[in-house]
Amino acid sequence: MHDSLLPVLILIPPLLGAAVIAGRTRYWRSAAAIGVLASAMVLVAFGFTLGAFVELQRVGPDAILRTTLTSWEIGGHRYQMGLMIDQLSMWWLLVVTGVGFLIHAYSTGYMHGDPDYGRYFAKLNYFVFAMSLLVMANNFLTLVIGWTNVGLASYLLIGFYRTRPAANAAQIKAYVVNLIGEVFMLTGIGAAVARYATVDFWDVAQAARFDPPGATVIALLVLVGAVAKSAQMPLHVWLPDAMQGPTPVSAMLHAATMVTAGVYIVARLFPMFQAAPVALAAVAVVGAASALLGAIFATRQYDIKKVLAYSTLSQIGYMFLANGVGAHAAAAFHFATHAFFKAALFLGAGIIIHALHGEQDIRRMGGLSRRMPFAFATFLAGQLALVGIPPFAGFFSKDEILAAAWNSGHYVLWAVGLLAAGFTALYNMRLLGLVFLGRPYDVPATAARSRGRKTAGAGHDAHAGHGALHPIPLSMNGVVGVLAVLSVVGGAALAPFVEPYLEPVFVRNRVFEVSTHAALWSVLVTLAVIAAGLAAGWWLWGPNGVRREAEQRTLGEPAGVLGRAFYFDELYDLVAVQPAFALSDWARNFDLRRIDGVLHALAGLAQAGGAFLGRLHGGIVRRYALTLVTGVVLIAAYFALYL
Amino acid sequence: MVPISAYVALASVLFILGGAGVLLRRSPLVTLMSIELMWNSANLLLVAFSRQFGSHDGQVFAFLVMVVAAAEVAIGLALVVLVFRRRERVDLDDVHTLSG
Repeated sequence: MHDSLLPVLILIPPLLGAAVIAGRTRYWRSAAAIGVLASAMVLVAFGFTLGAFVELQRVGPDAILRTTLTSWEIGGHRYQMGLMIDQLSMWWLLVVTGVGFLIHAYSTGYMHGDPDYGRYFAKLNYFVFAMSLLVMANNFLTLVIGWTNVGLASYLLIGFYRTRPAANAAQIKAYVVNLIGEVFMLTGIGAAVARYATVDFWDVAQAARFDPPGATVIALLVLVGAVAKSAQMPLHVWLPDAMQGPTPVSAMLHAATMVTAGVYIVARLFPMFQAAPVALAAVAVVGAASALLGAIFATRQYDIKKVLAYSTLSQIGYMFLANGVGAHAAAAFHFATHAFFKAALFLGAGIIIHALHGEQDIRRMGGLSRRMPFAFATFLAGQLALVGIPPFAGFFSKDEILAAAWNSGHYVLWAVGLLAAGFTALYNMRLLGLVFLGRPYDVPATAARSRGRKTAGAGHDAHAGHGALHPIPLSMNGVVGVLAVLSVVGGAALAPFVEPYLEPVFVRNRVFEVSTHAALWSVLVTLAVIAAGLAAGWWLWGPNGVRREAEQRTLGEPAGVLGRAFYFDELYDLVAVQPAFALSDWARNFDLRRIDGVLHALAGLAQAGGAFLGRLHGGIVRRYALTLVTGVVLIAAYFALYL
Repeated sequence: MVPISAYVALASVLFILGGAGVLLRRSPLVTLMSIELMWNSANLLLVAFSRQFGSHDGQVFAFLVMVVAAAEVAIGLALVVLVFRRRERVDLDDVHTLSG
């Protein structure tokens, strides 16, 4: 333990940026100043992160940088809330602030001219703050604060275009699905506190190691939260819809923050998961299923961003798979390379969408390699890294994960991961073929329509994507260029360092780690499967592909089992949303008819009683006299009869 | 000598007649007269029992009742006159403007 102020210093700049920009957003004269300020804040946070990196190296591999924020005592137990940085947090922080900064810088160009420029950057800064808080948490309480703030930040950013009903629906969906996960997670934390009387990660993990039943319950509950946050099967449904946010936000969500939080928390709580083989198996199965199904769904999407969204789902699945088989260093490695190439891909897609005046449908693109050579080169670099072609970044991390799955003896999961790699190659070839290769799409006069906010807002007309290309600012091209370079060299550069760097964390936690050194034959098998996927993609969607014409002719939303992604949305609508509506209808009627009815009956009773008593006091003298006489007669009769 | 039961019977008849008048008639003047009848049935009993027991207390009370009755009728008539001035018509059932 080594007390340090650096964790707090990392948090302050993005929070300050968010507060300053949001608080005075109307008074900013210059939009450019907002973007520069927001980016600078994240850059400062990145600087402090580098400082923390150096500090951590200086004090030694076993040390942890720690800041205690507050502590209190309940029932003789001491609870402490604070921040800490160890190698695992460090790894995440570098990506969060580093890639986060690049996305900020890119956004200064992408969001140029948006009337809500200030609001956008305030939210984006807030996102970086929330994610940094999450990864620096030293206990469950701080974690929950960061965790829910990340959820809120994603809610705000997904619904950034707040006048679009689809964006509103998407943000609510993301929030609700994450809330479901949070309920489970909080239940797990409550169970941990009830059983071990501590909220500290380290203490919980220590106690759970000698308590397999408790560890299993808590790990499974926390896993549901992680699955929701990371958009894994079966709680992945919010992620494709979340594409309603601005494109850099998608890059932020997918590459640097949000969805990787689940991977992080599983890695962070690894001693507990290893004490619970059931939970560990669940992690691996969820990951493998997400990896395969996400890749399969991506082959049938038409929105370029949705293809990438399902791709993220699939790649995060690999990270879960790695965690599930005990190769957490490989998971962290894939997290970093994925951040590079997925940010490059999303931001590259942003360039294409920007240039085509808001067009997102890949069937309306085609032939862009000649018109946008820079975007093509960078996107291709990201794709090669994603597919896992050596020597691009994704090759190293993905092969480590597959090797780990094999070494751990989960041969079925290994095969599923291998198949997913094949499908990854397939949908990437489709993306490449439809967007960049072949003939440009001919716009039929009747089918021409404006799409997207940028088209409508900027007054560009129906030649969406086929008029003059919108010029691309240097900030966007520059950032994508940097990310493309990282996608190319990131894997090879990091590969020798990942495991040694993260080792202290896992040694300290006495966690077993599966060896991830891939055998040559494993690499060759993977490459063969990828090659088969690429070949199939070329045959189907290449310049003369057999499916190319057919897909470009049919416009409209994708249909069928794959196009609707196995009907998960429809299923949830049927089993969760509709019953909830029915229940609320019933409750409303019960309230109106039964509860209100009883109250109305009571009120009516009082009114009737009042009216009856009122008639007795009608002011009619003879009625008073009759009452009096009746009373007298009754009393007289009583005395006469009984006395 | 007339037995006491005859006085009691007469007083009862007078009281019931007076009570019936109060309950059934709508003219305040008739009502006042009916009340007078009930007072008098009470007086009759007071005097009759006074004589029966050879005490003068009852006769004294009878005078007291007559005075109270006279006062009551004076107030009642004044009210009737006032009501008549306001409404040009006097009917007990109409007079319930003070009702709750």
